[in-house]
Amino acid sequence: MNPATHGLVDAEGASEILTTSGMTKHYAGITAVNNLSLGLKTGEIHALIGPNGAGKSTAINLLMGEVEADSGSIVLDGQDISKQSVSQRSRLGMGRTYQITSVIRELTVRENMIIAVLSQTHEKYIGLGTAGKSPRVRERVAEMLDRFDLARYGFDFAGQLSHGEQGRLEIAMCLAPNPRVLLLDEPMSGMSLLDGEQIVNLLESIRPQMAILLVEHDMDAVFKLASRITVLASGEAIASGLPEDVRKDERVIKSYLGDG
Amino acid sequence: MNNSPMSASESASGSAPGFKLTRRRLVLWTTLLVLAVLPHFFEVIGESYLTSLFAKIFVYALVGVSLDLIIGQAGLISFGHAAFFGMGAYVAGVLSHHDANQIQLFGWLEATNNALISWPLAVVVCALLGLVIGAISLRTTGVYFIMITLALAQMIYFLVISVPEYGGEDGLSLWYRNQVPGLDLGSDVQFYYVCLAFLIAYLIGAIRVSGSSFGLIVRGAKFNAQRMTSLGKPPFRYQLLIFAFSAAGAGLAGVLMVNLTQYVSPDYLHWNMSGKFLVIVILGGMGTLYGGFYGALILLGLEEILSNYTDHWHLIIGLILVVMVLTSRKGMFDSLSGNGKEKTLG
Repeated sequence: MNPATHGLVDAEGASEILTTSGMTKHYAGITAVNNLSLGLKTGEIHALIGPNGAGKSTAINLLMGEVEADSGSIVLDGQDISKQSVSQRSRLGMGRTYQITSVIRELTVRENMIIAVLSQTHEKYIGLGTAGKSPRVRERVAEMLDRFDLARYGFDFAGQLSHGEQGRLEIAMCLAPNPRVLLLDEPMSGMSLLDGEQIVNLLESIRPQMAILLVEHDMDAVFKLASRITVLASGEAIASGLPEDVRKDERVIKSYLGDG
Repeated sequence: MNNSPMSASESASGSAPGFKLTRRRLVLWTTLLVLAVLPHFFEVIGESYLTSLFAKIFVYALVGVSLDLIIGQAGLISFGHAAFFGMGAYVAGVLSHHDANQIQLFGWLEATNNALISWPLAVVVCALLGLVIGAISLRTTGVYFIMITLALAQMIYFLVISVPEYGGEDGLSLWYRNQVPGLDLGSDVQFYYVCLAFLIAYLIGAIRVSGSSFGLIVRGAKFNAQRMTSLGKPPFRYQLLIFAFSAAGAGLAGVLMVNLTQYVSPDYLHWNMSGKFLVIVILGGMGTLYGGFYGALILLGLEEILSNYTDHWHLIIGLILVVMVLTSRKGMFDSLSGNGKEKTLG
């Protein structure tokens, strides 16, 4: 198998829920992402690795719609979403975390989660009932906070949580609407060993229900979690395939993994 | 900056069983009780003119609450709220003017002096104006938002004073207040209670809004628009709606103002007025909603008292504002109620 092949079709033949082909983004003179083709499958964690400035975050921004691609297509479950807005993509079942953890620091953990649960209500939803009062919302909020071990912080401001807890909250908020695709931008960066381990376990536990794109520098975590790995360098995929193949790829070793 | 956890919504969604007497509740109930009997007290001490002063305080308080709703909840600092206040005043005033002079509107429509028609109409016009100004202004944020609301409001000011039929820069004097079947709005005492009732009604509405899912989404957008958008709730729609609701409140206050003074002044539309509203919100305490009342009480009260002694009362109010901002960033309401901390007194 040639590890540099773009958009591998897995032997098991499970179809990809999110497929990009030829995704390209130029910034004034720099090609941030060049002709990138990725495929995400439900139940798989697809890791996107590469040195700083390789275009990993841009790739996530392109997938989520925060940056518009110059060319290429993004297809979610048979539907071309490359012209959809961020919030439309979110409603279609995509969620993302940010490199700098993006929770609403000035609101309580519970309020954050209420917002996350409310987020997939109808586009025209106004919601003049008391926030978090309806049994549906209340139960879902309690369930999510319990599941991610955040219940005891419910009435603390999200900004008061530790870095690791904020990261967990952010992932939990993305999961509240039951996304089909989850894009994670360095979820373990700056975390303690213990917090990072918790995130690894968390990702393992949610893996079966969705397709996950994981951008991460922590190679132990990547090789522990990833079903497939794509390596970016200067905006281009220099390798893509199963972890053991990527680990052996000479170009990858030379440009990124080093002696690892 | 950790803004206070929106005390208003806390009390709205508070799940504590039974009634606990907190300092905050004590302040609010005492205030309400005093206001309920105030006109009779003024009558007893023979200072009945103060009843109208308090009606005016309620009018400004209403704008204060409406402005604090978008500043405190949505983080939208409007420097153009005079547009809505003045528009409310002009709609009610112009209708009344046409009615009094038996001139048909646009040459074919009967005007009316009936408050049941002209007041809701004025409020709706202001809400619509709020949608338009909001839709334009919300394309910007921060300082640009402040500036564009100011610019749009000034546009309306110049537009209105260019209409000689409605008095131009001189404004429009009215012969009488609007009429409501069963009430005598001409009575200062009755008018006082009407203003108080509207203030309380709007305040309750604002508290409901801030404690609702809608209000929570608006607050989320204030702090982290990026997160709201990637969750599928882009802020614009929510910010626009709360802006229009705020505009409606300011418009209602304008309607009451024109009835109180029986005079439609172009000053109501002027940016000076917008500045005054901001001062009220800052004095009262941003993000408290109740602060609108306390801010108006301080500002108009000081104006009334100080102007007896000196023509330079603006200077003193300016100093007080500076001291207030420097020492108690949370404003009057939080100072009275113990910085928003929920302490049980008994």
